[in-house]
Amino acid sequence: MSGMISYRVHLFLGGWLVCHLLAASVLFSAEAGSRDFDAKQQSLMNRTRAYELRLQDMHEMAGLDPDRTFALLVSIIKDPEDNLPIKYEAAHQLFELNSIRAKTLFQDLLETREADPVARRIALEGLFDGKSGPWPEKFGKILADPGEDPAIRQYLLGRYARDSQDPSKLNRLREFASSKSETPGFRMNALFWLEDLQDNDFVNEQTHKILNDPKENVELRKNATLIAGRMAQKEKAKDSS
Amino acid sequence: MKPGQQGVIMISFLLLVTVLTIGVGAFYAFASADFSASLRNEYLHQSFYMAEAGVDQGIVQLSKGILTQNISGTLNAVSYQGSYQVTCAPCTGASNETLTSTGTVTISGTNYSRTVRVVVKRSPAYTATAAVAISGVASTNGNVTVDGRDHDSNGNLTGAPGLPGIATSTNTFMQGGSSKVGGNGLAPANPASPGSYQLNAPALPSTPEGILGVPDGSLDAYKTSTPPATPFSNQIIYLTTSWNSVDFNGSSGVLICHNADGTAVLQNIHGNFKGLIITDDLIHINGDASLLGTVVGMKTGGVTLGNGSGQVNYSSQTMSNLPIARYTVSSWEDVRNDLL
Repeated sequence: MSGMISYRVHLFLGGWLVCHLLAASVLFSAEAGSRDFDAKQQSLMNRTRAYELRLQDMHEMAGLDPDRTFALLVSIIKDPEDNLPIKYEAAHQLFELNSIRAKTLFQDLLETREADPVARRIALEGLFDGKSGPWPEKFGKILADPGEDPAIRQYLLGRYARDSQDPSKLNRLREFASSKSETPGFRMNALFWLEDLQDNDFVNEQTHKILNDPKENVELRKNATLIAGRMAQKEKAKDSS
Repeated sequence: MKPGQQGVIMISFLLLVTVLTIGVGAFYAFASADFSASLRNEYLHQSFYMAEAGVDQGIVQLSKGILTQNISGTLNAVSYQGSYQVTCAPCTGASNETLTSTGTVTISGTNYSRTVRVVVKRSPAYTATAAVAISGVASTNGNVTVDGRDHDSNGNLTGAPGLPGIATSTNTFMQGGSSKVGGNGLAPANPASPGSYQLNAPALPSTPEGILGVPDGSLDAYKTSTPPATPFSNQIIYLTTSWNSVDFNGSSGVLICHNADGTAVLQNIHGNFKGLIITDDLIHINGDASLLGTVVGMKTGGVTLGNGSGQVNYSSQTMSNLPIARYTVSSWEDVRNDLL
């Protein structure tokens, strides 16, 4: 009888010990994981560290703790001092971690004119990377705003000309190309896209207008000459065939 | 005074004179030795300056890609003259070179020498800011591709993000035709990613010498008004006229195309080139043209890349191997051979 009791006591104590050992090992491994994450965090946030090593840390951290990594990546994108390639990688990683949160973040950044311009440009491209729906209306507003960042407008212009199914696309591009209130760069880029879309009659007419007006911007006229040359070559090729 | 005491005074006086004579003699001997030491010290200082001049000469020669193991020269300073002898090792244009320079001044047939040894570290003469850096408005046309991602000297991507494809000091970049621009780790695209080019970049210096960080006139020896025969290999060419129908034909080195009016143009470019091109303007990079390294367009009015389908790829490795480089002293040692 006493042997039976002793056996049960031993069994209980053994079980108790095993449970505690298991709990301790879980706690220990969790703490080790956290320590590992902290070390990688320090390394990732060190701007002077080599790009490849930071990238490696970024991917490993995403596997260790996605939520904390997401927050850190946001701070990298918003940091005006950090370098551009790592910011682009961070934006890409954000989408992989949580595409819905990333999209919301990018939209907020794009709508905040006071935000860091580089972060806004990255946000814009991030939104295009994750975009599967129709051309968003808000992009049209940014495109029409001459006070916007020229790099953002130029990129949007290209994406609009290339990807948008907007039936009034040609008309809008023609407006941009002929509007003297637009910067020469933006006008020229619009004309380039119209050339690409083979809106030949308008392009011919517009290039001649630019070339005939000595008050037009020199670079605009120089590029208009190149377009006129290409158009003439196309005509010649058409005639010969 | 008693007659017997007169001798004591005499002896005392003579002793005093003797002591004074010895003292004054010792003082003169000391002053003379000190004066000689001062002179010797001054001559050693002069020889030290000669040795330093030798080091400077060695650095200048290395920077220009002149790899001479033994360099010697003489210098006439205002109040003295001397010479230097420099040995350069390994003298192959390596990342670290050791210059051992001995300066000597000869005074009344006696040589006074000092030796200094410095290790100089090589870095690219031009710190590239983009695959194509332009002072004015940047325009790309045709099918030209500009890629600021880093390439090795064979034109393969290294995986490093590199630099912007285009950097312009203005706020305008006109991307026409099917031209593609990439950089900062982003693949060439049309429309180019806003991260792959830089608007409002810092203004470029107005002369090639300024861009390379060398004094004005130091590249005059390379100036020519005749386009070079191609291919040229790892050379510095400073062309003061425009060059039309350029066929690089596998050339490499530093090609400068610039004149005082800023109107020198490289036009209708064919063939492969590895290195640095500094030109007032660059027109028509044609179909088979491939430029590996960096291009700098100085014309403030704007530079039009294209109308062809050539490519410009940034390569840090190519930039590190240019025939012109910057050498900075990484360690300095005064051998103090005068104390041996």
